[in-house]
Amino acid sequence: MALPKTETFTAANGTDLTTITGWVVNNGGFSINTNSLRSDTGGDHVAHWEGDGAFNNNQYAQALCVALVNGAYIGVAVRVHASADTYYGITWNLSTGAFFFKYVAGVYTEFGSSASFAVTDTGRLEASGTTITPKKNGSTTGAPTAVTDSAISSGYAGVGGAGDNVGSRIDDWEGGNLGGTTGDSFAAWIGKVNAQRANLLLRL
Amino acid sequence: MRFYILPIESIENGRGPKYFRWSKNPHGLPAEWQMMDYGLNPVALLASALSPEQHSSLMSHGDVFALPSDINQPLGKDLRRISSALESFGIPVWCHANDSIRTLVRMTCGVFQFAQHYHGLFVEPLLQDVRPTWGAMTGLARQKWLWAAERWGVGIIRLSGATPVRDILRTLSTAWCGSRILAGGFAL
Repeated sequence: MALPKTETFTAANGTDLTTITGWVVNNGGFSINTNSLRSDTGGDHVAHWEGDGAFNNNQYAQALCVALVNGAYIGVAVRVHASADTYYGITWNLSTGAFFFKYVAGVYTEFGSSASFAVTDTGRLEASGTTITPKKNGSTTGAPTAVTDSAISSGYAGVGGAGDNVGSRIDDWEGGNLGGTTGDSFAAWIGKVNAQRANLLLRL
Repeated sequence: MRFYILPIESIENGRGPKYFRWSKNPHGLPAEWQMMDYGLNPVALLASALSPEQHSSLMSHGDVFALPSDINQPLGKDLRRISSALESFGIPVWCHANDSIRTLVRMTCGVFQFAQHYHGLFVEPLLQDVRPTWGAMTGLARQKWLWAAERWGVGIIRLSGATPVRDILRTLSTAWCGSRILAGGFAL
């Protein structure tokens, strides 16, 4: 299936995400509950989709939040590494709302304070060049603030989570490539750098 | 909104701004914040709109430095004080007195972005002491820097053993000129 890829997580309760075609779990585990996705072991979780269709470096992932409790986080991820615990993510739970962060080889770094998030909200994360932008219901209003970050330049769209509780779940996941750019695309940015290259060499 | 330079604290496998509330430190300062990390170095540029009381509380810690709140003002007579403070965090400063705080923050962000890039490639911090020369670095470290710089889109040549590492970082930071940097919720 060409991108964007959509996933409705329609399967029997307890179905492991890895049994659904195209999904690869990097860390932890996810399963289906009530035709939606939950994280289902303790600790941190991330998985990505790598079926037909290639993700550009400029990509997005989004999902509808259908249930939230305290003690378990669920959300979306972009630029997920093929196997390592490396990605940009935004996950949600009931009391603290949205957390925006990156994982680099298993090391978690938080970008900012949490923002409100609730059941029936659609969360989205976009990576365009070095601009990483969270959105809530199609808008940056009410979402964590976008950041500039250079740690992760490519990968797959996916899902993220933490904790082991059936009460936090997402549905109607979608991952795809960005048609336009909201900041400097990686290619445009490299072009700018290369344009300055001669000058930079002279500086040394 | 004001910019601070402060330590990153590590709790379990997570990193967040020391003294602020974050997911692994629920007892920190309850304020909205946004952070740009210095790669895997335990230092961050943090933006927050604190109340005067919260600001005073934060500044009671000796390892926090607050940049002037008006980032469009020139560094002026504060240049030496600010440079000394940032250098103590391992952040090289090349600004002049007539440069603005905004310019200083942009250059700092450029260094941090390269450190993040380096972190993503090698899962290790940049040198925390930028005073040494290129020749004082190990052969493996030099290879990593050259490769990271090439991936960064900047060719580093004309290096000698006497080239200060801070000069290399300056070149890499300058590569950000013309690019948008988001910090603290707005474009610098």
